[in-house]
Amino acid sequence: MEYVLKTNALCKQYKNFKALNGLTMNVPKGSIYGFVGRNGAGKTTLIRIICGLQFATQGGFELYGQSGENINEARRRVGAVVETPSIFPEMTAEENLKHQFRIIGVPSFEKVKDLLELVGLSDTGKKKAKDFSLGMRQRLGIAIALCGDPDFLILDEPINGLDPQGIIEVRELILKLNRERNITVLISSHILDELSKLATHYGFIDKGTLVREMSAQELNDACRKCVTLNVSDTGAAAKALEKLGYAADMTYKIYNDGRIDVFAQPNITQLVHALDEEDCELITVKEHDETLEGFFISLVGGDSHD
Amino acid sequence: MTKLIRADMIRMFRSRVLRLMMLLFAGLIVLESAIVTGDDVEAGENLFSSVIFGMGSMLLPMFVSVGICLIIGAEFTSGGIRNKMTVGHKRESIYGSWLICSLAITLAMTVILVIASFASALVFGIDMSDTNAKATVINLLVMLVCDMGFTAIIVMFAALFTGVKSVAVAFIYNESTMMIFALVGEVYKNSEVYKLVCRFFIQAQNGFYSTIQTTDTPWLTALCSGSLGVLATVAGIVSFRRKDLK
Repeated sequence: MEYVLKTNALCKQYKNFKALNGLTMNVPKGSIYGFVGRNGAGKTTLIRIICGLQFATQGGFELYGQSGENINEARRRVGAVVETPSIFPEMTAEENLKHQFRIIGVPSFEKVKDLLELVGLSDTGKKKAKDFSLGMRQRLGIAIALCGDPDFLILDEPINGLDPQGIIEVRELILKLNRERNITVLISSHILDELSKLATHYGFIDKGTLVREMSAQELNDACRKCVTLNVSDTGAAAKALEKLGYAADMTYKIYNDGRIDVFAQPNITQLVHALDEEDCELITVKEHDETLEGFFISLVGGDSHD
Repeated sequence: MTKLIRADMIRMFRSRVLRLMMLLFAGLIVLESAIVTGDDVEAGENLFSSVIFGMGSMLLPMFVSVGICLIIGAEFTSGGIRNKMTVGHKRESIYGSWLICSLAITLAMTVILVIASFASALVFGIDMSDTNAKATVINLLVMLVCDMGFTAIIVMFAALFTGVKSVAVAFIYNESTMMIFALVGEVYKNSEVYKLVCRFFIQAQNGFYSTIQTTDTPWLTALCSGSLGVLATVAGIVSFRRKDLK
């Protein structure tokens, strides 16, 4: 699999605080990577390091396979909105985009109108950016990030403070960019529900460390309604489940520690009888209905609401 | 870096802040001309010199420092600097572009000083008969080099004290340097060491220049101020390269 971004044990130490602590993550090409963590977990610090605003104290990262001295070359393929949209408030939307085109060195401004239309700001005219709503500023920030035709877009909490309409607009824009232009997107957020409508991959960060990295499918599986059995013999238990008509990997999953997750709604009485016939002890039974938030809390610690 | 210079030049010279400062600066020069016209002329005093090299040389660094700090500071407060770095521009190039554009602003302000001084002198009938053209031009060029050395120091402040607090830092530096030299000069004005140190700082050069004769060893003054500017630039780039930004 090709990766756009690979970090290797990245650390960032401020005076008395370690913001990143050995962070290792991989962003696959063409994915929408949801970077999830609490406030202060290290999401923005990582993004600042990737964008060159700050320097790692230890470890490193590769952008399109480039690192060290060559990283600036790779950054030409990147567009980013870090924390707040980087716009000049005294300029109009068009002037902000033209300024960015000059910075990149694009001689012609013919794409300005297309970009404004893409983000829904084509009718702002002479309105200065300081008079824009938060949603409009976010969209302008994304338009500026798109000026250089990037194939990797980094968005740091782009939906913070947006109203529901604004959230929908940003979400649809991100999906459009990913599907139509095959842009890889790294999007950091702590609004899980919204990310679940977007992300194809997830990285969960807590206290500067990547706690778990998984695909959207794996996350869905983890959050499915299921019954967890602790048994004495998983092999025997698997036979028992198959006799009852449950197919492996589809409706149940075996773990090495004697645990089986059954994603269907088993008849417990029948299950107990079937296990008994296979000389398998049933130690505990627990029902799950994991929400995304519950899953996240279980990863980073804190009480899970069962 | 040429892309950055072009983008920064257009942004800076279109900035309302800079245009207002240029207008205000020109207005103060004209006002000074009007005021000195009404003054009683003492023997040997050259009114035109007091406008262009007295008031002008005192005001120009102040306006340049505030203008540059506000304009560069806006890149930090708005996040514009992030747009430059994200697309792969090196920090040295960003700093270099700021420096070149700031030097251009200094040159523009000097041109405004000359035009406003001459124009208002003509309008208010200030006597320029004893003006020595060659001496005036040489002194203006030396003053310009010294101002550019000062500009390099201000760009260093703007890059390191990110945001508009650099305005306060630059203002304090400017005013306190002027005051220190004024106080020390009371006691040591005849000291060769004091005279040499004055050549490094534009704030200490009040009275150095006139329209009648060239300043003493102008090349040395230009060299000293220019060297300080180069030193500030090197220090600024080295520090800016390592600075964590938001």
